[in-house]
Amino acid sequence: MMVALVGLACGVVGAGLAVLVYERQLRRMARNLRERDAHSNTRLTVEAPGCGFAELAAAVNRQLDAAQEERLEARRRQQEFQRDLASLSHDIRTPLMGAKGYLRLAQDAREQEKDEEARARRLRAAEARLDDMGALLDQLFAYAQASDPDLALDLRPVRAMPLLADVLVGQYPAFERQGWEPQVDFADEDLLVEADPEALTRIFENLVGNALRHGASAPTITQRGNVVTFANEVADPGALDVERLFERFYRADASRTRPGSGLGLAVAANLANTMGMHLSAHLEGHTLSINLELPNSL
Amino acid sequence: MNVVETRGLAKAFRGKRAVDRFDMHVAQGDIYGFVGKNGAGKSTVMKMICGLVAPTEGEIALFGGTRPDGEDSLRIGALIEDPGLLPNLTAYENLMAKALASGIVNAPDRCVETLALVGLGEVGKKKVRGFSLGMKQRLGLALALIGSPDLLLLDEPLNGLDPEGTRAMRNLIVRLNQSLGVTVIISSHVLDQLDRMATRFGVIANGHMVREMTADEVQAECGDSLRVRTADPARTLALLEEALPDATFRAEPDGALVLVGTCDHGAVSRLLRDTDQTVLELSVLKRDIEDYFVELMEGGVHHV
Amino acid sequence: MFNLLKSDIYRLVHGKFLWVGLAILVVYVALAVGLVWFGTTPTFAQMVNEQTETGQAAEVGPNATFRITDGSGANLSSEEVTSLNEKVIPSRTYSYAQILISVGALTLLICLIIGELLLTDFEAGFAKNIFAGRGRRWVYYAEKLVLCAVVSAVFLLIGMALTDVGFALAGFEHRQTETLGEFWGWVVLAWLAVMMYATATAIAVGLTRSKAVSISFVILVSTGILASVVMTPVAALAPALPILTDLMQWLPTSSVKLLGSGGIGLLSSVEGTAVEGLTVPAQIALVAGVVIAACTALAVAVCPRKDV
Repeated sequence: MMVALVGLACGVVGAGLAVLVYERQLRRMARNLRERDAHSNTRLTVEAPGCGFAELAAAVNRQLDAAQEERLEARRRQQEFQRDLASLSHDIRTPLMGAKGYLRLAQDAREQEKDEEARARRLRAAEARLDDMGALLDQLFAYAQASDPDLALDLRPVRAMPLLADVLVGQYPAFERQGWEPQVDFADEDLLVEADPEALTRIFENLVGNALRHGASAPTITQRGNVVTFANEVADPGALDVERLFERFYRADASRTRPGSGLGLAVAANLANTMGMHLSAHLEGHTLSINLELPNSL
Repeated sequence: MNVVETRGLAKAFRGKRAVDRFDMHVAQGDIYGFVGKNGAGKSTVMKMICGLVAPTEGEIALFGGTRPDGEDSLRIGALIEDPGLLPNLTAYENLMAKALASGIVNAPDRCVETLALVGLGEVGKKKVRGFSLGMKQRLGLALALIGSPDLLLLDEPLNGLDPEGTRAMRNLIVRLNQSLGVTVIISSHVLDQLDRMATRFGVIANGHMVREMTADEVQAECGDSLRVRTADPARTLALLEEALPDATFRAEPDGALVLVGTCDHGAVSRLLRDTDQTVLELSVLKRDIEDYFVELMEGGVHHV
Repeated sequence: MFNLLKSDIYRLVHGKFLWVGLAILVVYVALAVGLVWFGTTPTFAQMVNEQTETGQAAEVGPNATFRITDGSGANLSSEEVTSLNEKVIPSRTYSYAQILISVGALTLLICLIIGELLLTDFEAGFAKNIFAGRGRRWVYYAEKLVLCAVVSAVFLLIGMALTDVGFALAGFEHRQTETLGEFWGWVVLAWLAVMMYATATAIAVGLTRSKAVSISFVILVSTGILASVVMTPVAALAPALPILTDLMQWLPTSSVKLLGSGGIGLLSSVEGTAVEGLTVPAQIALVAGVVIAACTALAVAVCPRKDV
């Protein structure tokens, strides 16, 4: 009888203690969440026994982790953006300084009454530098437009081949200069694509332009099914990172000696994505192939 | 926000004041290089900051002083003097012991993660007794990091590490500071390593804070010097002395001239060209940061 | 506090000391039971009979003889001799008391384990990791006392189980069985008695943090050596100063002695207590209570002031 009473008393006391401990733990967790520094690295801890608390704390910590990850990601993107701006300003500054330099030289020539030939040469060089800069800024504007989330595209069925032919004809002088003859091989010459004709033209322009500027041989453009492939040889396959080819400002030639903004392919990739197409690149030996996957509907 | 702020901090051991009238300011996101000779009181100060030693006088405000003491126990991680390791347990067990004591959720995963972070992922079942000094330091760092702290106190963390380990730990500290925003206070004699890491410096001598300055200020005060090497050093020296009477020159054994102190580098270059000196080398030298600090540590000679 | 407890138990389980201690306990109980069992074998009985009949000591070796006597050194009478042959022990708690408590074996083991844990904390510097950043140091010391209670209880229960198993295997019977209240009452008192020593050890280590002091404390105090050393001069002086005898009754060792006869009738017994009319349980509880309370006070008030 005594034993039973003692047992009961112990049980009641035990239950009371448990309730107190649980209350305290919950209050403590709430206070920690309320008062913690938003940027703190620390996470919730548990003091009282019980799987329930550990699970709750783990779940809350996961949320906190996710929030921190987001913050870090935003900061990374911000830093990337700063870096891109810095490299862009470098790309603008160099031709600008060059143009200034040549103009000063040209001025000097006039003051010292040296030959006209030299002065004219220098003025032409200055103009070329300014053209380079202009091209870069054009590309940048195109990129800004292409990445604009509110970009309005006029999608309708267009024939791909005639657009491509126009682009190639437009670049004919450049091809002639190189002594190259581009090869076009379309399995279905009447292929219809649901696309914005201006955007598709721009994509073709950038791909052809890229081949012209950085390729080592005439490009070959083939179409099979819904994939259009631009293939050309490259001089130094080791310097190319096909994973990063479509990143903005990526250039295989890291020392930036050759003209080119590094934006052409990025613009093309963005436009393609907006229209439901996909650009990818493969490198086999000395041949770089860029595939444009068209949407399936037509 | 100042993560750590001390005002008039003092600690006396048996009548001798090891730390006296100590004021320190560590801002959020700093890597604070805490510099001082042996016995200057660095470890004592760090112990007081993390609560291992009670100060005799003065006050310490942590994290802006908003929360009452004891509520922020996980926010501070410390590796002070020797890493307190249990010799008969493995590295993982050591970490688990602390993780359980701190109430960390998912302790086993967290321990494995932290071991990998400090480069001890492969030690397995080896008892701590058999660890090299470098491995013990790393485990100590892991113990400090296990609670995901916001403030890290490291007392001579690069001691006993080989160059590889030093680089790894330095990279880890910088990464923690830059991506997770952890404020780090490092005390070290190896000023060279601190120079590359620290954003702010504090020099302690005889238990008293001599100077606190940012890394930029250190560069500015250290000053640069210009090193000129020409085909005809004697002539160059004469010309330079004539043209810049206020500058201090030093002739090096290899025939170069060093212009100490700030001077107009452009003016020097123009002068050399105008006087038809054939310039073989023109470079900027940074003053040895070590000398600068040793002077300060010697008892607070003031550089104004 | 619960977290610190979890951590300490983890360290004990993954370390060596706990398991070595348990092994020693097993071996010790086996040996003790074995010795008692030997006392009931025919060989032993024969030795005793020979001794009683011939009045001479038994020969064990070329120059060694041994003589079996009762508690006060006199030769055994024949009734006592017969009683030795029976495989009977007075009661379960008696067996526990004789094997575990009176000799102080259990106390010694527990104090060693607790002492080692605390000492490593401070010697290896692991305590730094626990204390860094923490505002309330007293929780650490209080938790160590709770750990003493837990370890004492666990070892006591294991020891009890081992003793039961041992005597059952050796074929012994119990003359009397205690009631539930008597049994568990004795267990609680024994637990208090052991905990007394364990907490004292913990505080000794916590205050001094010195290996030398801790080991000496464990060896001298827990085994009762210190008590014996103190008692001898006191016994000599007792006739002159009777008050000393009374004071001696209040020592922890006396409480332990009181437990020595087992639980039967213990709860209401007033034999051998310090003050007239004070029941045995009351005295034990009082002495243990005072020691444990003092340790707690020290743990909460004095130990936290010490720097790490």
